[in-house]
Amino acid sequence: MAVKNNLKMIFDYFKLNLKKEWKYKSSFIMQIIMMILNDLFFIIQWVIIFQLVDNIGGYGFDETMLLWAISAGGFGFAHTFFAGAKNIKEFVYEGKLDVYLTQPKSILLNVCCSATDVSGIGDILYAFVVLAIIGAPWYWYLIMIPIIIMTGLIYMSVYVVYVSLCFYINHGDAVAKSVEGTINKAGNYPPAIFNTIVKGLFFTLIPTFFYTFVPAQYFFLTPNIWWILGTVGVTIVWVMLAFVCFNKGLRKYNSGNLMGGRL
Amino acid sequence: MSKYLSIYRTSFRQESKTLTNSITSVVSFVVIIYIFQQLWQFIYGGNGGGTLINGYSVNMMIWYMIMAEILMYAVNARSITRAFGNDIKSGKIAYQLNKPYNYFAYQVCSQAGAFMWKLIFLVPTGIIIGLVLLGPIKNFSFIYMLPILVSLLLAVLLTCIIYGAVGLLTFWIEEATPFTWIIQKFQMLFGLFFPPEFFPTWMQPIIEYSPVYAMMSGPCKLLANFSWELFLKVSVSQIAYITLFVIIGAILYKIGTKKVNVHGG
Amino acid sequence: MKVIEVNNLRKEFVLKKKATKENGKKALFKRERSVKNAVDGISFAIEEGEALAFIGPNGAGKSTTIKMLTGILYPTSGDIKVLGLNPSKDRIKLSYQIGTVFGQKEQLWVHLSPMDNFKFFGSIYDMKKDELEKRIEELATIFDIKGYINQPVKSLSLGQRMKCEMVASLLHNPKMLFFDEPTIGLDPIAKETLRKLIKKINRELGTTLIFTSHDVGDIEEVCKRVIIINDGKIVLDDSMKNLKYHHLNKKIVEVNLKNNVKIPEKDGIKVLKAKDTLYKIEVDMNKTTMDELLGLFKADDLQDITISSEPLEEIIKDIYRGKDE
Repeated sequence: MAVKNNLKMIFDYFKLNLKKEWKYKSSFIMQIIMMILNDLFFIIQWVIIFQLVDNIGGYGFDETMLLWAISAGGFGFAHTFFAGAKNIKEFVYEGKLDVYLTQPKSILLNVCCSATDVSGIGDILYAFVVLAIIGAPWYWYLIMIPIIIMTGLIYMSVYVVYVSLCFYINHGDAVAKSVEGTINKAGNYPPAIFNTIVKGLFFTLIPTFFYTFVPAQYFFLTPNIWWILGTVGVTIVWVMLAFVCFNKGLRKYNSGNLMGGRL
Repeated sequence: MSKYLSIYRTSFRQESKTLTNSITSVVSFVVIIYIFQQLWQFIYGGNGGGTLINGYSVNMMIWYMIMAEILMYAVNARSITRAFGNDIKSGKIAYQLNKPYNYFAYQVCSQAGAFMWKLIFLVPTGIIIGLVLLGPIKNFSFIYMLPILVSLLLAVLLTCIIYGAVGLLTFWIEEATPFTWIIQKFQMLFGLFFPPEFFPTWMQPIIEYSPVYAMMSGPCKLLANFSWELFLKVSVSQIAYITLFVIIGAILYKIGTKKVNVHGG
Repeated sequence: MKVIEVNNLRKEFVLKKKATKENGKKALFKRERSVKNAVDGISFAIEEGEALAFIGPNGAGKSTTIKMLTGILYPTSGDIKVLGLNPSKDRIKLSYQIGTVFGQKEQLWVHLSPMDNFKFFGSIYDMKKDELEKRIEELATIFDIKGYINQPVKSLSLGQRMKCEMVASLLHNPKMLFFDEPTIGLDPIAKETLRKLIKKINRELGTTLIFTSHDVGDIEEVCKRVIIINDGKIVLDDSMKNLKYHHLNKKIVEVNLKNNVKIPEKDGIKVLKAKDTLYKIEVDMNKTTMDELLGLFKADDLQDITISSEPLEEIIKDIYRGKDE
């Protein structure tokens, strides 16, 4: 029942946010189109690179594009449904969580859903545009959907885990933003270019590889049931971590009562 | 002149407060340089600098990249265009008309001031990460630092002027940021990702005579492979484009403000 | 039935001091910490249907208390039972049964209309569609907001917004309603309207009210019981009637007269200050009336007059004085 109600809330928020954004229709559509064009632009970079080399550790143009598609899709999903997570810093430092704390829903979910970034829709669409560009078989389009949901969840959960530092320290969001930026950038490059230590990091603390490489390799290129199950497990672990870290941090929440002490 | 200097100083101070953003952008800068270094190392086949691609060794390529990313991180093109756009849209520009300074110069200085602050973080970070990842640049002399710095500053200034001029388009169109966005993409594709030599021969002269060269490729090539002739060439291009875009900006501003006056403000 | 029971409740905040010129570079690395007891061991109980006010100067701990009661803040120590629930453990269960209105923290989405907002909040509280529509209709009538229920919230006046905030917090039919400084920033007329509505909620809907304010005027009309908090401690827990009789009995009247008139000292009328034609007079309402004071000078003579309650700080001092005696 609680799960159903919370899912309904995600949907209600999405509807409300769309209604809000739809008031400026041209800007709404513009944002989505611009984001697709923006993503398409980066393809040129890889066209030129793959004229210099055939492949990078087994990753040619198509495989690299698949990485971009997944990262754009996950990023898009996260920003379409959970863009409110990006306001956590402000909510904590300026005491804006009060309203959410008095409502009968999961606070983290409530906060994350409270905003939508429309350009995220463009990113999701781009993921499928790329599949068309690389001439993917029809069932890849279907597989892409759960992947986007999972990578989107991982993406936001990692951000929430690190941004929960805001409950404890000033400038806590700098850590979260840095981790997020790293996941986002590094995820788009063929994994072979990184050394072992960095690879280890990308499987664990900064789970870049679960964000792009693992889904690309083991869901699409060389399907492997253990890696698929592993990815599901990792997603669940990160989501749970996000709730645990955030709820633990909430105990330190001071509702902006002592703003003077912070400034 | 001193009045623009003090405008510049005030906005310099404001920017210094946003410590969080500075930390974040430095980390992100380091990460992107590291990724590019790993990528090019792999493309060059891991034998640090032996092979040349289009006349570039792997080290030259990374130093080029470091300079390009410094320029990219230093200047926030959208915020310049927005600053102009917002003033025009909100009608604030009408109040600026009777102030004893030139609005276009004021905004460019104020924006450039904010971005110079970032250079204080970015330049040393760039030098350190370069030295750590690659070691010193071959045949580099300390005397080169000065012309390279001059070239860097001129590039930042030119970039601010160009995006500022784009912002002035708000006098005529609702939203100028899409133009900024397109120009920025050109800047990235033909300047940031690859030196001009990586493009087909027929395109190379076009790139070298374009503003992208003065904004990006020129100063980047200086760091990768310094020569006084190149410095001269880049400087001439930068000064020519600065003059050109200042004139364009002044004209746009003049025509635009007349439009505001006609409407009665 | 007791709806709230609080025992020895405490909340401490850790203040971090930033580097200043005085404490120099050391503080850059090791910030000085100091602990402030915002709420310092308070106990009280509230009966169902009561209208109770927490008053105290800014920073006294009243907001902190109300935020602990509603589950927003975790107490450092002590017990809280609200409707038999522990707010920090059963936050979600509790939230279905309470409503909150915070004067400084709006919950409405300003780009949307009150109607859209109400529908959304209804779904947050898992209300059924027809039940929700009936409720909105009912509350919109009581609060008289139908005229602007479909306009974007951002186009409404502060007073209108506040009414909508209240409707939003009453949608799920809460048993208790918490108000934290609801009248802050409102003009006198809007304040008056709001106070009447709050009174109405208590009388007609039978909702238990807990109210904080630093404005004595707010609570005089609305509440029957008052708890005064200062420095995190309860200074007074008494009925409004007693408070009025013992401590709110004095009004300060400032008059500016045309001519210099001698005001005779009378029982209950005390001249605090007299300078040229300006007088500051304390009136004890238990002993005399305003009419009597105003009878002392001719209506023609009166250039300006302001009547105010004694400031809260003075009342608190007064209470401390009374305890010492």
